[in-house]
Amino acid sequence: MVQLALPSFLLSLLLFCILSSYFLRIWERGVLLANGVMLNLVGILLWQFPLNATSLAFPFIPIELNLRAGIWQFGFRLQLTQTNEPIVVIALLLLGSGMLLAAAATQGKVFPPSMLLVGAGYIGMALVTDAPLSPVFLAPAMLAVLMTVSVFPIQVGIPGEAMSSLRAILPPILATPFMLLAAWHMEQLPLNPQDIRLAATGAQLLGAGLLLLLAPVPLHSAQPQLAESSPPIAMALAILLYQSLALYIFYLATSSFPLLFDSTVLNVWLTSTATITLVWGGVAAAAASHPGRLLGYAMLHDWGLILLLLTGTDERSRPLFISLFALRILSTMSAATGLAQIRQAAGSLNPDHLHGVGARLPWSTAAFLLGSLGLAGFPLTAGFSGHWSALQALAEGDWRFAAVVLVASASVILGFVRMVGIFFGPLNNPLLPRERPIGVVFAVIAIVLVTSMAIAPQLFEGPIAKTLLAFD
Amino acid sequence: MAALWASVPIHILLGLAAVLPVVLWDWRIALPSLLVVQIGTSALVGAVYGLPGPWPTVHFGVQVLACVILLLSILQTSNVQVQTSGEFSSRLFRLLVLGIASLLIWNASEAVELPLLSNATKALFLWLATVALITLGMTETALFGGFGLLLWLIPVQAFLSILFPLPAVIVILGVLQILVALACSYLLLAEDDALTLVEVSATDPDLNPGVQPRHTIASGARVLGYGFGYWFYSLISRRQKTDPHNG
Repeated sequence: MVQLALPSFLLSLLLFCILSSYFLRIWERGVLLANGVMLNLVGILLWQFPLNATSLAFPFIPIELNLRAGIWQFGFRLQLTQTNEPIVVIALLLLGSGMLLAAAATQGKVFPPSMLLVGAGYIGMALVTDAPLSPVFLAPAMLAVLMTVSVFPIQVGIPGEAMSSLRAILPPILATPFMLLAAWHMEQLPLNPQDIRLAATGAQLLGAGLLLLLAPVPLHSAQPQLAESSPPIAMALAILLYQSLALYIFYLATSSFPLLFDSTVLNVWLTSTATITLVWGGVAAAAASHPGRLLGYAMLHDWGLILLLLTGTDERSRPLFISLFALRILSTMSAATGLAQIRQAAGSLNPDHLHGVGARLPWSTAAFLLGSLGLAGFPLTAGFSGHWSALQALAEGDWRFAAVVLVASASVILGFVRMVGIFFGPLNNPLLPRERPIGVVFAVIAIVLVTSMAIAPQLFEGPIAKTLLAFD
Repeated sequence: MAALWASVPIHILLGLAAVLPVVLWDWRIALPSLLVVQIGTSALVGAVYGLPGPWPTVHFGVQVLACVILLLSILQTSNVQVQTSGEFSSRLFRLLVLGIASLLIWNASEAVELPLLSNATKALFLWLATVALITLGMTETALFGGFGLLLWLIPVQAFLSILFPLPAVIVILGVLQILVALACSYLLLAEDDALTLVEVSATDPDLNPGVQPRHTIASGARVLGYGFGYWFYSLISRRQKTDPHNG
């Protein structure tokens, strides 16, 4: 019986997926489906299995998995803990569903191995529990490395649009010196405990680094640009994986340094930039005519709301932002599913070519619209319950914030009303192909998931309670 | 030796080397300038701040590799924006922005606290970071985006190596530099419209009908072989006047 530590198993599994998707790329669809199913299965099993169990044995396979064991390599310790478990599971499920969706709407030959490589990096980063420097301070440098590698899957096969992927690298690269300088100040504290300035400067630098890492306005531009120019699934995975890790680092930093909010101006800056982000997302969405860009602005609006909730220090804000982020993942993936099918069928996302696309691709169009509207909190979509709770929480504090969010959300919805007019208008291109069965299957699954969350949001209570437990 | 590298004239020279590509906006100046700034910064942190032996050399080696990676793509691209040297008005504008930025740095550098650094080195590092940000703010091409990012990483790498002379930090930042160069080199090819696919007419007797690349990428070895000679040739025969596309 071979004993294997869980991090070794996960990284070996991802390495196997990367190699298989590269060497067997002739059978792209089959390999993508197999890898997608495998990654989703591991993610679900990991979520279901109690972490306090020591080992897990597989039937017929002489491998015993040690769930608690960690691995040491080059001064880094990788271990699955209660805290990083939700992030690892989210990354596995995102990668798995991304591979499945790419089987229905190809994202380019480079996409599967390069995105799996990026995903393996994010999972490895989430598993780091010890490093030569605190993982919180090293995180921006590692995120910068991963976002730089993400350029390959998000840019693949798209000539001419280079700056959008380059802009996506900027926030973590800019945050790196701030966070490491903060680390130096924090390290000096035990040597000079009387020096109050050291602690204050360290906290200010840490706050600035975190703010840059979360990329509110004016560092937001990559999000709508990528949504317009990149393959939808690649874009959704790149953005969601980055934001999951950025939020995780934010949580680690604020829980390690609980005075961060009180002793710095981070709260003020985060509140103001988050408000501008959600307002700008709404205003720009109302004027956007490109479906990808419209999705990008809807995502930006939603991200602004999540950042606004991050500033809340009361007990209610944490479950709220966790549920809002979980619903964001669901809505974005649903929208990307539909948009990828539309892009594949129409050849591009140029709005001139999309008139009447809803008549030929009804399921994909519905998945796109339901997912995107969920990001604006439209009633009867997945995001409604999260947005409604967020609005109530904001209104309790200051009704003007809730009013601003409401107006911005209405503005996003206005943008989609115009898009509905384009999608369900007279058909421009009579040669537009109909939906393929595999595309219909994934679109229907996305619609079912999104509407289930809209009708019965309590379905999410279990996972959110478990995530909250991990973060307490 | 340490006194030489710590001297103010050397700092000024390094600062000017960083400015030159932003004013002239030309890759033939940008890559050598990057190397000059890197070699100067590496020598500075080695001689003056006592960074252990191999690390300054590693910094320089990584930058050389990054520049070679960028050069390989530049030589294969026909993108007019890469080849441009800019118009007079845009140069003047960039010069103006740099002038304002230098005044701001001059006034603000004393208020900024960068531990373990002398005032001159602190001003130099702040200046390099500012020039990098100005480049990133002004560019619309992957080449100068890459130049800006690599220039940003030079003072970051040097300063953080002084604060944390740990292999983990130095290696992560080195890997980041190489990956940035690789990504920008890939994007340079992606933004080159001559490398995109074109529809070949079925009536053309010399070509098979269908979708074909407009031209193929030459082998890396051949490009590397000719690279430095081409760089020198194109530098001395640089056109002064550019066509209307080169805005």
